[in-house]
Amino acid sequence: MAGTVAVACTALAAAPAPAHALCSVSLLSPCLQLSMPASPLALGTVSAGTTTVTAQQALTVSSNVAYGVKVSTDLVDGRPKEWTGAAYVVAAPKILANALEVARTSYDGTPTTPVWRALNSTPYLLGTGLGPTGCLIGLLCGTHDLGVRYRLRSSFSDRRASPNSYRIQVTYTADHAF
Amino acid sequence: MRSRHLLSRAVATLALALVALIGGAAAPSARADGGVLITPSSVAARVQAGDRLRPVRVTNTTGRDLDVVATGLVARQELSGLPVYGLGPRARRDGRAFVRVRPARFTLRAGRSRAVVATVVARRPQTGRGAYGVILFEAVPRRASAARNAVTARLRLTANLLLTYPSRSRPATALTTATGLRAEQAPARALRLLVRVRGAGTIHGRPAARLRIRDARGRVVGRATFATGNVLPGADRELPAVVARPLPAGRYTARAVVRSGRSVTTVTLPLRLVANGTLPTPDLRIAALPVPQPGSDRAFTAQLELVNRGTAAAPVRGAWQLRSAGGQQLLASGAISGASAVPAGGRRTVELRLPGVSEGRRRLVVTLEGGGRELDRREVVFRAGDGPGRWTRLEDWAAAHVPLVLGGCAALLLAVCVSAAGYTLRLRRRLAATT
Repeated sequence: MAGTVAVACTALAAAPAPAHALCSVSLLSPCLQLSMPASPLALGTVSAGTTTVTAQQALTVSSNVAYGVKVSTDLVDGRPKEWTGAAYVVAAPKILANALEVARTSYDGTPTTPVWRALNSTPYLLGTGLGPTGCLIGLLCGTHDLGVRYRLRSSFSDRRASPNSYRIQVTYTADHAF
Repeated sequence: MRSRHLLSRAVATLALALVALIGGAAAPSARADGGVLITPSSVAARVQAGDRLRPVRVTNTTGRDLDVVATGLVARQELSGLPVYGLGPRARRDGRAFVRVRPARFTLRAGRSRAVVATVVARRPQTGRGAYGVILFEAVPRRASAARNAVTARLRLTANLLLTYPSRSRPATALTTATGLRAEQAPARALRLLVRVRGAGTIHGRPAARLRIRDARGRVVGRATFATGNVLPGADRELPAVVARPLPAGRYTARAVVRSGRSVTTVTLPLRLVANGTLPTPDLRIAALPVPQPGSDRAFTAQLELVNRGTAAAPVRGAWQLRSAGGQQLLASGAISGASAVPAGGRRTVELRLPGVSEGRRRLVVTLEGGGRELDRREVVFRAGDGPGRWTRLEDWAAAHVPLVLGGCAALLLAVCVSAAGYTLRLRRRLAATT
């Protein structure tokens, strides 16, 4: 198998302003900011029968109300699918045998024990009961960094997709508590 | 109006100045990765059909242009207080009957922001009642799909909508009642208590709840205030409070008093601490649910790995469901029973015996339950049918268990060598004896 599985975190570059400042000037209104991991996440060429674990990706959240962050995939079963570079292959696409897995590996810089979960289209809560991100008098909001890693276990049944590649998109969802 | 504007500017400038002064302390990891900011992320208003809500401003803090889609959706509330909403065609149709969002699609240039306005749509009379939902903002980098192997993320952020429809004939009631209380061990020998409240009125309420802990003599030894939040009508929500001071071993009674308007409800919970600040608490979670690979129409098993990270044994109770891949259609369901309790700090694998399903993609949903709430939930989507052959599965298994395979081969080789050496020695002795 020689597929590249680019997972959704490549495109957003540096921000013009720090996250905490933006959430701060919203005054007493509830605000919510979610930033994407900074580094691209491409698994590159994967050999059959191996397990690839990505470097830690940091999601940054700024909020002055309790929130939750969820992760899901665009594909219903979470298995990377053959990609032409513009769209998924429709006729008899190649699909990897195993679903992409995710685990939260740190919270605000403190490592947490990873519990791997196979991703699918149902949003999975990366953290429950996350409180507001330390706002001072409701104005100056800090940030929470959620560290996540992705894992892909390739199978001997996976086939090379060349000239295409494999692709899956990860969706990060941030919700406020009511 | 002008004075309000000036005041806002002044406070904003003060806020920025304070950020500059204490920015390092306020932001433990002041990363500048960029993303999407929405404010206000919650809109509460008394409305009538046709009213325009306060605009929600979406800001692009990335260095790229974003394509943004805004959708109004009806939402419920889960135990943690977070909104629950569907994304299917029916949910989107219901959302259009709830609020109309303008603009629904737009491009947001780097560093720019844009206001999104929701207009209330009420096809059903909602007088004297509340209606709840979210505006869902989905953002993807523009023209991202053109680049090969460079797939962009999708960010979703939601702004909550809490709308009440006033009525003279049917006055709205924001009644919240306490229905339960539970306690669990928190870090640093603290206790975490959670009072369960239910929205029993016609609109959302924000109850005030306080906690008292008394020892066996009736003396108050611990006090705390529960963090509050909105509770939607018909929804259950848990409000947390932490008693940080470790209590000595002994028997206690925790009492939560929940006030909602003129209504006061009380719930109590007996506690027994086995050591200083130590409350035996089970914490059962699903450690893993590997994706099964069954044949079509053949009964199969799924391995459910459980872990108990708590300080007390945890009984195993729960349920499984087999559904269509999208989750809409229920194919089969059953209870998880018969498994013995998982000891504190222990792990256990439970085999789920599942009926055969026809060929195609299916969804297995497993939930663990305890104390009248869902402890954990795991969903995997698998394909029933002709999966990989036995040889491929053996290869995959061997690749996943390399040390075991190498160790087994070495042990087998050693056993063969020892047997061969023994046989050779015996053969030489026998030959020597005969000659």
